[in-house]
Amino acid sequence: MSLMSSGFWFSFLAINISLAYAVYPQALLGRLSVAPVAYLAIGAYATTYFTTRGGSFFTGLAVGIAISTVIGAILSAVAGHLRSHFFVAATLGAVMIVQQAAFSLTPLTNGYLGITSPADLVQWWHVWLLAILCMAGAASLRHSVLDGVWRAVGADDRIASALGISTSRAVFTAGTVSAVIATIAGGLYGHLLPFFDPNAFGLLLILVLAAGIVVGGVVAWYGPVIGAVIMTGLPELLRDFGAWRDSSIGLILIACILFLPRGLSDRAGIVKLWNAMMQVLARRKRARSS
Amino acid sequence: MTLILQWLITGLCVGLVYAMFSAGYSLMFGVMRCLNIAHAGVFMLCALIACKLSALPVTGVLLHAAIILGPVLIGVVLSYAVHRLSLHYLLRPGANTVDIEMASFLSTLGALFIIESIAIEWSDARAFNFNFDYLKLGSVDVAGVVLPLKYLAVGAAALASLVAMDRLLKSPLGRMMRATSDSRFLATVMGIDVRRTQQLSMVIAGALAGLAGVMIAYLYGQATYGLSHTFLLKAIVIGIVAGLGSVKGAMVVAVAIGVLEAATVQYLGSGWRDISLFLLVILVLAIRPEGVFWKKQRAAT
Repeated sequence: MSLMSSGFWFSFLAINISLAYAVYPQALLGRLSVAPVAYLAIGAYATTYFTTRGGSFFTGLAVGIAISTVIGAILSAVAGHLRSHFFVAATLGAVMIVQQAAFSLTPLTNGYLGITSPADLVQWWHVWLLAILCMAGAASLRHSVLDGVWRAVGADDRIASALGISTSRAVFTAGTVSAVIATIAGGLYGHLLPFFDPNAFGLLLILVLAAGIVVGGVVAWYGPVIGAVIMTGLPELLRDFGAWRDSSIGLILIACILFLPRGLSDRAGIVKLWNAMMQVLARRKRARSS
Repeated sequence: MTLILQWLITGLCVGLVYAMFSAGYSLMFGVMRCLNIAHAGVFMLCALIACKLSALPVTGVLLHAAIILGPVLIGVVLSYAVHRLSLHYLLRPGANTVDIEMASFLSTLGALFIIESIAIEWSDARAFNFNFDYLKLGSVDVAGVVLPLKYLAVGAAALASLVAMDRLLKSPLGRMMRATSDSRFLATVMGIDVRRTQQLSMVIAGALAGLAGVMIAYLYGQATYGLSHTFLLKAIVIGIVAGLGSVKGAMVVAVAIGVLEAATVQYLGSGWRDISLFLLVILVLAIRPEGVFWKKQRAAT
């Protein structure tokens, strides 16, 4: 946590934005995936394996992407027909297995002892470049055929397949995009952190990632940015307030689920909520005056 | 042979505690169709409180009462608070939530964040030790098999609470809960106050989680805020494998998972514990995603 004070959070924000965009394709399909945390770990371990042994960052990245896409394909094949919390559980399983593998495969990952990555290889602007590329990609995707196909599957699997859309192919494509983005983010993250061990890719990151994508929503392309900014910035702002730090994340998550279930990027939902609030206030006022 | 008996029995006793935890989780799901992830947080906070209470400067019956009743009481209150905060509005009459399971999963995740941050702040992210002077139990030697008595005691207590829970489900009160679980609409028609029944299921689950918290604190000898993550994973695993809604199914799977864990730790090492659980989950999801003991709800509402 002491890293947070040294401007690290600025780069960390970019990692979180990229990670949120790795969740975005599958969230469009109505499937909240936490598997990007597993790909993040794979990216971090694959790249540091090469750079700490004098190899190239990009060789490591290629190996990492290969592993991640294979895992993503397996996950799509096994769990692609699932939705809602079933899909979350399946992807959570993948993350837990990868994390345990990182603990156990000590010759490759150094297990509990962790890895000290080469310093100054990755700069803050590398990370932001990835984040901006992700944002640009998501923005250019809107109103495209792919976006339409994904949102159709997200609305209803059966209706989408009645329209001639292959659900399994959509899940597979989204999973692959997600794996590639998250692995690159992982490669950068592994070098951004001076030191990491498998615990860096644990349940806490998963929960914060899931909370971010829900708070931001995927109605508009900028939803993941909103979520990532809130989930990274809020704990940073409330650093001196002890228990309020993480409670604030919880409260925002609850408020979003109860009142804005499609997230903060749902502008129509915000207008509707505002009108409903005004109505309630007006009714109260009338009741008081009569 | 003696080795097999040893891990089998300790695994069975731990599994019975898991069963208490997941019986409440499954009961809540049956009655409300909600996944209450914060259940793990309630459990963890109760375990921490049990550790603190075990160091109270009193002895005898008073200490027993404090250690057992304190966490149960806190569990009940906390569980009710979780209901008020994150589920009450979600379950309002006329609410048009498309995916109540996912929505409740996430809103109780928010509650879990809050409970965890309280626990971290309170314990300063350190482990609380359980004061064993409370109840010292040695081990017995049955035909070469060395069995720690504390496992047997906890197993017996957990079994007793599970039987009590089963009795409760057969009582008029439990009939109300089972009716709500079968069909919320028909239960309302029969004059059952569904709201009250939902709160009741939360309170019962909270009490069970409190008791389970005491037992785990006693078995492990300590408790940390990290327990909530361990048990969150177990709740998810048991929920998927058993198929939610069937309380008995959840109990059976929980005991089986306790034994499976003991076996993997014995033969493959503790690193394999979570891997084996999640391989099981992915297997069940691929073959029978509704879960092994899944029961179809009769009416949609």
